[in-house]
Amino acid sequence: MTETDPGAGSDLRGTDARDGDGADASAPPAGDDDALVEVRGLRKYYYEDDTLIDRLLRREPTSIQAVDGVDLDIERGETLGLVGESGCGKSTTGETLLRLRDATDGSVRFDGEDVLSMGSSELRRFRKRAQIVFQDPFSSLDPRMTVGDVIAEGLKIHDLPAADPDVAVEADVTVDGDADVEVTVDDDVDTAVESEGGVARVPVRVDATGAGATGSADGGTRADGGPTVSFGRYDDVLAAEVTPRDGGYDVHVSVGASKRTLRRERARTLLERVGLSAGQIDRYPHEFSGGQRQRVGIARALALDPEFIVLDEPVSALDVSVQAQILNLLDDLQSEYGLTYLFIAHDLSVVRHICDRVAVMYLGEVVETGTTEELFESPKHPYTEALLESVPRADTSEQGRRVETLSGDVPSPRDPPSGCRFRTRCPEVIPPAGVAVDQSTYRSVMDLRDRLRRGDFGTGVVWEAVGDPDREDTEAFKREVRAEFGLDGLTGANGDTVEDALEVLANGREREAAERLTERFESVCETEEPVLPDEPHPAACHLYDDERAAAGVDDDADPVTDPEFGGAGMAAGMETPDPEAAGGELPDGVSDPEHGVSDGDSSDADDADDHDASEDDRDGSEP
Amino acid sequence: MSRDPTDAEPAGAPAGSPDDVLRVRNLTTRFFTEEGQVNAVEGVDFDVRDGEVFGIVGESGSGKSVTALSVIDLVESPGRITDGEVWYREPDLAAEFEDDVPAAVDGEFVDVRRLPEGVRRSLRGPSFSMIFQDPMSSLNPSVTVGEQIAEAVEVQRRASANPRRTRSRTQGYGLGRLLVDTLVPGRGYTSEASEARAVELLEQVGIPDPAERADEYPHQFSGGMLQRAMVAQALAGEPDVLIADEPTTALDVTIQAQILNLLRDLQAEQDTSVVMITHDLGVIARMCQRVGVMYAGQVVERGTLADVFDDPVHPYTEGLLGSIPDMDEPASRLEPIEGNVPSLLDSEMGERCYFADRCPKAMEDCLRPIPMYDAEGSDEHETRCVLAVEEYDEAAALPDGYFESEPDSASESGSADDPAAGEEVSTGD
Repeated sequence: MTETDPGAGSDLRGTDARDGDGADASAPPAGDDDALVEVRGLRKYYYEDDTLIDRLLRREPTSIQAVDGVDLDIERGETLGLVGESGCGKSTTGETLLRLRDATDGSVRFDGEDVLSMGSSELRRFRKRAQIVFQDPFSSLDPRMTVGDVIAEGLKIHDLPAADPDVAVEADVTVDGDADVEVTVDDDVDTAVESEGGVARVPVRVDATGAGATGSADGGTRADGGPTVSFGRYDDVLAAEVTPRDGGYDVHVSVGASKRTLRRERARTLLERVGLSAGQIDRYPHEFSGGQRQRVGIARALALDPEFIVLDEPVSALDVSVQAQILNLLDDLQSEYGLTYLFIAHDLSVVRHICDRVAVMYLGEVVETGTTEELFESPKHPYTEALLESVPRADTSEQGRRVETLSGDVPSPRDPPSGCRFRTRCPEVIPPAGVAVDQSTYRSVMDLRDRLRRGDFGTGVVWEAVGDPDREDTEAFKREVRAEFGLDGLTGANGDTVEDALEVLANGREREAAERLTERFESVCETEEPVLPDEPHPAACHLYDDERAAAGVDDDADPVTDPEFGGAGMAAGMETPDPEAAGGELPDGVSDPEHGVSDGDSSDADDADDHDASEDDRDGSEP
Repeated sequence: MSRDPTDAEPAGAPAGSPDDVLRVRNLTTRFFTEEGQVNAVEGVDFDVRDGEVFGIVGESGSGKSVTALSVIDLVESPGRITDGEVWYREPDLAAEFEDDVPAAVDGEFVDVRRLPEGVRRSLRGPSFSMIFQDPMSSLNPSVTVGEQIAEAVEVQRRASANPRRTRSRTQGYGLGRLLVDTLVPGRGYTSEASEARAVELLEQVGIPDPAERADEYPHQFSGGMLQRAMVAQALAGEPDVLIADEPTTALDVTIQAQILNLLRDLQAEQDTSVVMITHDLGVIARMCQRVGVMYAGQVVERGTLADVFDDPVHPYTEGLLGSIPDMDEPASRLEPIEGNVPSLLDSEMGERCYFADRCPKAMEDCLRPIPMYDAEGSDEHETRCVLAVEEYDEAAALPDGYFESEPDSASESGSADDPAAGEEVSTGD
């Protein structure tokens, strides 16, 4: 797996990369020859309240962390899928790595060059090699330009076509009739003739049979009395000069058209390549349907012969049948031109179809990467699992399938949750060691704590609901809060803590209540940000901490003394390679890994067990 | 619009299952545009039964949304419903109009299209309700979400207070009342009771802190929350038939799953019949018991979910299914339908199977209008394709490029898609 970067050290993507540009920029791109694009610690923040007046008033600008420390490797010739829900920062990532937006931090290397520090001339060259196809085919084409102009615009900006000194020019000469013909070709003919494998072959057909005849049907060039020279499909753009000599002719081939004509020719070729007809070159975008416009967008991206194309949701605005046509086209173009794609999408079935590897984003961070096969067959991160689960399959077995949905919406990137950003919706949050509680109740406690922490709990509202403006009936208050947050399932030490905290809360001391709850219920998921480990198929999730620790270098580490491990051990029922070994060290009540947090599939039975476990564990873990 | 009395048709509801709550027959809607007549809906038939979810699937421009609008009579100029019947089972209504409009009544069924305008309007809300595709643009941005739902509740409340006979309830709230309410503070269309009910509805559709959210404006809601609010609004009238037009297209998959679960729960709870309109075959598969596939304004295949998904007869249905990448068993290459959706302009439609120009199995027999044929599978499986009654015959196949040589479509097959088709493109991100 080339994702692993042996020279870069195991923590690169976790910690070093977050320090930003420094470390990476100084070090040469290590090891990996295949990566065409290397993104490290890419961040893009937008700021609100950042005007001059705000600064004069000394207001703190609010940052919106659209992209927050993304690492990606895109290898030559592969398609990397970038998936996630709207607002997770996938499009911003795509645009920032092409420098269409200025990155806040991080580094992007394209073929070894640092994109983010390029000067204008370097950037211009980079733009030629890296292109983008936008999502919306209706707003991404200038309505006042013909599609021919749209496609040729890039060529015009780069003053193309220009002769490439690396491309050799050869003539494929066919001579009809009996004549000794010597053909010479101008070096810059490669501007008009498509090159293949570094050689531009000019098909030259010299018809010497009718020497002296008048004219030729196919519009070839005819020297007076000499042979007819034709260039097949290049007739319009090439010119020949025929010089008679002893026993034969010298033919000199040169470009016989202006750059403008050449660009137009190129646009025609591209239109045909993407499945439109060359005759449509003078039409305006509104004359095309959505699928056809998207083809024009693809032709525009191809015009400069790029190596790398960011495809930003290229098919999500299209109908299914047209979508399939475009996906097939993208597939063909990739194998034909050896393109590398970054395929940004929210439709997982499309990603599954077209991508070699996939990175899943959530709220500005990559939470899991892997080959398409790995990711779809055995997703690791609970978010990936939820995404896959949610997609409706077009199959009769889908009938009536009930999806366990994620609760709530994606949190605001203005104030992302602490620790793991997914924890507010995660169905597998890890309770601390020694706290046995079923997931839904744990979620309820967490919701209550979040509300208290954010300071929008509103004790007054509860008292109002209780109907006791004097705030005396604390029992009723507690009942009300329990009912609202669904905290009735708690027993044992957990129940005591909650009871305690509600008592404090009823007395109006919100912060203290929050502290009491936090003391017992704080999860590793909120205190520590999970990092994307350096391994094949990594997932940034604490559920895999123990697995990693078990496989890690430090075999002697006592799992229980490691605070991170303790929590994760709870969830180890499904994954721990050797539950006995770990279980022996765990405190009472969690010794049986099956009593851990349910892994989502075995919910009910486990929940029941959890209650028992928490009863058992009362003595051991009471503060 | 009043019906031409000379346009006499055999009275009586068409035959169908006794469970039917809605029988739509020969529904035809045309748009009279500057470019010509657009046949958006062309003789559509379908039935909706008690408590079922009926799916209509098709691409953009296939006429599925216009079908929905036609059923609840919301087609606006330049569009007009030119023909068809919408038989709705409602014994009370039938009894009421038995004498006045006998042609519109048959047993418990009423042909809604023959009822007076005011009555048709009064059915919207308590009988038919609709969830629109784009929640952002379907709610009024300058009115709080709670008030908009309360309005729907109020309509329903006044409806039950004033029996239907006294015409539409909105007519009880005329210009005079509006002026008074605008000038006198503290008077609005909605009452406290309806506002409280709006909060209840918001809670029912799973919006946290409903009392607070009710006072917020649509822009303060996320897309998923707004769609929930739309569902709440549609449910305010406790409709018999709920038409959901692409209810989840603008949403992310995880939110889509939430909304689909919600719709299914509410549907089971209230025993509402749902017409689910979508382009997403996955949503159809998850939600619907019976399905109709639309193409170019016609239902080209219909039947149970298994009929349509497992034994499709129409090459369009096959093509649609072949176009979707399979998540669980990815194929190396998709098999899309070539070409584009036709323009639906009357002058370009021709007397033939509308799919023939894109069909891989087009034959000479396809060059005539095709009726619905029974197909194998369940009793309900029908398709508008000659392949249901004859085998594909290579010898009779139309030569390649047959349609390209047709006048008007040379070298631009499908490129003249009308802009209207484009506007319906999903906004999903």
